[in-house]
Amino acid sequence: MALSRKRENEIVPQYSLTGDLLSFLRCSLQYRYHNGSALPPSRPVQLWFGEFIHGVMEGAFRLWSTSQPQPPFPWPCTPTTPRQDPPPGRLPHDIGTIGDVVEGTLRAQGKNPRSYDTRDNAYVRATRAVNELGPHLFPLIAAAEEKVIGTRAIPQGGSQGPGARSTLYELHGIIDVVTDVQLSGAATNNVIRQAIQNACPGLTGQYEVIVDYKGSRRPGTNEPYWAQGEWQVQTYAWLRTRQPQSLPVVAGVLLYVNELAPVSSDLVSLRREWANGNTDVVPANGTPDAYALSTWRPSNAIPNFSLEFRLARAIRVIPIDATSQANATMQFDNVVANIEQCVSTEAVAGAINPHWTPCGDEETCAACDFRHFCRDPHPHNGQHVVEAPAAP
Amino acid sequence: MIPLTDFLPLVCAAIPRFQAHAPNPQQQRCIQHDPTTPLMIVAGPGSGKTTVLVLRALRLVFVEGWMPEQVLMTTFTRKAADELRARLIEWGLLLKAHLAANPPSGSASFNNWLDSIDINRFVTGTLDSICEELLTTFRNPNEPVPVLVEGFVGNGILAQRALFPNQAHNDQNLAAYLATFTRDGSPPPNFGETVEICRTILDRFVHDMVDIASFQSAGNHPQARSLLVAAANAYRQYMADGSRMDFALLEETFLERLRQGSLQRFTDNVRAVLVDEYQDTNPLQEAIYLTLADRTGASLTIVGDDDQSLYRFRGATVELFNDFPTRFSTELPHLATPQREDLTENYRSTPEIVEFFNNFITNDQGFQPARVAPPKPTIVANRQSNGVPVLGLFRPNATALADDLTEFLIDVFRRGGRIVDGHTIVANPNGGDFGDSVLLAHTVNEFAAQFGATPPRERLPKLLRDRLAAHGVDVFNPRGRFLRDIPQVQQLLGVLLECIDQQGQLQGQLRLRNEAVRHLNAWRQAGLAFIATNPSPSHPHTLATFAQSWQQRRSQTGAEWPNEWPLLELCFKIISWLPFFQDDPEGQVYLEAIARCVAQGATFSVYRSTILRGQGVHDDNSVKRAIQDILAPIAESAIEVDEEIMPHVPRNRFPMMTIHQSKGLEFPLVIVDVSSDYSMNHPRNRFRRFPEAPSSVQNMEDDFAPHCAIGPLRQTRTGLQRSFDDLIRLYYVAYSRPESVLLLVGQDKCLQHRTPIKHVATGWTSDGTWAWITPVVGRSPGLANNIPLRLI
Repeated sequence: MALSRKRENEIVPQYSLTGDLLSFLRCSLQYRYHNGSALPPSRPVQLWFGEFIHGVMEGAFRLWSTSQPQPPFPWPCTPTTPRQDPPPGRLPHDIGTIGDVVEGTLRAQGKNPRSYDTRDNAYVRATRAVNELGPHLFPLIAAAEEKVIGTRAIPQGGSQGPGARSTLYELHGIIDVVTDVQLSGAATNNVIRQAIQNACPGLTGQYEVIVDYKGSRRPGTNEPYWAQGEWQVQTYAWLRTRQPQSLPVVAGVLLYVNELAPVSSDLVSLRREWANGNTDVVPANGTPDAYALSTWRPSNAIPNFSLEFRLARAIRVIPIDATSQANATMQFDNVVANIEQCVSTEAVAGAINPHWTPCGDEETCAACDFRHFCRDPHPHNGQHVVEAPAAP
Repeated sequence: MIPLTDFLPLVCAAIPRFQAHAPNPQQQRCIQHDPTTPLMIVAGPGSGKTTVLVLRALRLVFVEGWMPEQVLMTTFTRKAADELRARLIEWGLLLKAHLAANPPSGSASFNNWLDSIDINRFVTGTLDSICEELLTTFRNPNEPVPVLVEGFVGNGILAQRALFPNQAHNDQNLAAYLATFTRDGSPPPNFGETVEICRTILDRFVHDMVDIASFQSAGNHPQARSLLVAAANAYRQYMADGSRMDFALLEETFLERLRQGSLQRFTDNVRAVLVDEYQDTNPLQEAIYLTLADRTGASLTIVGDDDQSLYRFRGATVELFNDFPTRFSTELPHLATPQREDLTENYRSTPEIVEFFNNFITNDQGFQPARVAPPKPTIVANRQSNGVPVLGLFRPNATALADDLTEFLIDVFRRGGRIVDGHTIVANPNGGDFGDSVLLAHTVNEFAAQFGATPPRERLPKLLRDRLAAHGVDVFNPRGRFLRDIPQVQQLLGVLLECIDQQGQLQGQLRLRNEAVRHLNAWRQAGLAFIATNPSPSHPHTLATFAQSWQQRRSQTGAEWPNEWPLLELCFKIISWLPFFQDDPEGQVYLEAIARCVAQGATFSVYRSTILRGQGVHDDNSVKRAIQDILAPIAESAIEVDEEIMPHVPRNRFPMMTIHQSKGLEFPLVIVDVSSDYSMNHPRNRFRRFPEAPSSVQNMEDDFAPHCAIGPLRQTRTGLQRSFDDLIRLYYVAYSRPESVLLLVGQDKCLQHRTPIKHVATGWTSDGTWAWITPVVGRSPGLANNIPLRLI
């Protein structure tokens, strides 16, 4: 009497677009540890900054949309001084009030800013985001923090191992903002409307635009994050179209919040990209912004760039159509197939390291918690010899 | 929409697994039951309840025309929720595709309707996960996102913010009251135990919806009750201030919001609620489901099996299931009275196994009044016999048992099989392996409890681990050893301790419990021994010099020592010398538990799990807090591993799990350890086999009974009866897991005709009679003479 084989659990694996797929692209071995084994990062600083910006923007919109009358922009920002009570009489729409709520939530999750400077900088950026983007963005918002889900087939064939768990996967995402736009309905001086019109001329009728906040600078066009940002909004658009009663999605907007208040390292990168032709938004020659950027050196103060230039850097519009959507979703399908293959081969072999390939860029590897025993960190040339880490 | 009469034919046409085996008549009745009448499904083991739930949900969409996002389905574990969701998606998409390819004629709008169905939008999960998501999504403007805290953090907060401030650690009145709820009736031996019992009490306050004023005014232990109420209030206040919630408070908040109507955007949309594993519902969860039904008018379907209720210790109340029709109608008289359907065809096990567990569950007449009424029909086997009877392997002691059980397993999975009654039990030739079997036990701890300095006794799981290892076979038993006892964990945490606090200079200034000190010191020894081996990598410096640099806070890079350093980062550096934590899937389970503990420590520990330098008194204090808040709880086994982070258990490992963990699972070969620990009728282990008095859980239920609405219903059974009921259900679950072979194992003293070792699992009934013997004339035989097992 031969025993049967134990039935495998029926599973349609669930993947988050940002939490899983983009993380796997960043480095598959790091993904295995952080996502597969749920190992938390030792310094969740980047998590704190990104979630703080998202939280303030969401809180500000919630307040703006439910207040009567709506508080006029600009909203003040008086952050609570650490270890002190909030300033008396602070207004509900003060960014400091909103930030306290967000910081409290993050603190309860063990997420804290790296330093007081980091915190101050986050408030500056959040305040600019609310006051410089809010007046244009908030009136367009139809839904915030919209959860989207879709099921897709995992590509079969060469990239999938014999023990694949499923032929399908479920893709999850949270769209920061869905706008319900009628071009004629938005004010003509609405910079987001203008940016969409410029990128997608000839639009008519009612449609949706997806907006995603990025707690980062606008990446260079030669960086993987440039293409991944596009795939992300394209895939969000596909997910959005799975939802009943959704309108056609014609564009995605990425809002690079750091561009509203750049710091020294941002300008170093921008100058390099400008010189090498690796960025699509540069100041026009002869403008004060161009002079300010070209003469700036890291020892100088950050220039007061014009609002127009900063918004142009912050707002990236990606036209969306069926072809571009299909291409982007295919990219992520392949990512899922790769992850599933790693999962299967690890299960057969009972070992992790050989089956998850380190592939982080220099910055990712430098900050990685697992760099000390990684067998092939950046530049991934196979020449690395693992050495004992140094104290501390 | 399609007519109801077309639904089952559609299922059979569109979903391959139903083409050969359509749902049976019982299942069909459940699937087709009128959604306007609440439905209670009593589902025996292996009877396809998940299948029924999924098809019923899909029927509501395709026949009633409700949208998937209007259908809410809850189950008990994340794993079960994942499986439920996988079937919903797979089958739902197949039904949709089939209808798209074969639309009914004459309906132009049909395709538009079909397109509007998004199968992914079924609301599925555990009740807790759904509560958390809905409270986050539908919160008020400027209301923070709720932060869910797990047991270790919750207990840390309870101890620091509620119990210490109320002097609970040296209150004799409290200790006297808590003695009611310890296993041996003596006061909690240490503060860790005090925290554990207080945690259970606070959870009970919420789960049982206790009238706190009534509890406080009870005649006995007034000071202790007052202290507990004050602590509960302080705990609640601290949690609320940080928008933190534990699982109990999460459900309570959800119920409050439901009742206030502040989840109206959600409730407006709900048309159906389907609840799995309802037999393990607690009064608070019942209130949530009934409130949902009341507020939404949703179609309610509950599924469960009273015989498989296992979670009384978490507040589960099987009577809520057994009395569901009455309770529903009493609470919601304006809604239709629930109707009941039974699922009794078993698709999992052979007829021999089904007969065995049927006899087991009906063996004790004293248990029968605790079962659902009218009685569920006898479970009927649907599988063919394989000729193998239920087996027993009993030996004079645990060592001999482990030897022979290992040989049995090696025969089955590594040799040509084991012949029993002419049948060769052998692994599947197509990739069969140890993963097709499991050892189930009340506990799978590898060591017995330690008393004093005597080394703890090795239990069957440890003996098996060692013997299988000699054959090159690993076991998978992440709950078998406390995290603190795993050698690699001891090395990691020992090195870490020595780095931050050389030779325990600061640890010695702390008032730690003996248990913590003992294990912290053992880790240090393990860490020092490991350092002495000069593990690789040893270039450009050794682990020893790394540790010395830490002890002296002198950087090896030449840079200044940082002002603060995350403990977790130190932990990740140390694993550079411990490949087990880099590469082994089981090592990841342990590393995750440690990392989770350190990370969560950052949410409540004063120095946020960092080690400070150059900040005066705070330098030492940060080390002390790290030891006290993070490492001492691990040393006291307050941290549980989460093996669910592993997507696969390697199939070449032999799995061991508790019977509680096995709920909902099935294996081709199941080995149930019924008595490997029992060589004598020791009073200390009677509660696990034949209780003489109510357990601490039943004592707490009885103490709370006058102060909560559920009390009288629970007390329709005495505390002792409920203790027996729980044991019977536990082994019923174990005996109903196998597909092909069930093997009971233990020490053979339990099988002696005149054994003093009474055990529910071996057929003893609560009145002291034993079904495994029949009367004999003259001298009794050595071995019981009516054993329903084929002994090998």
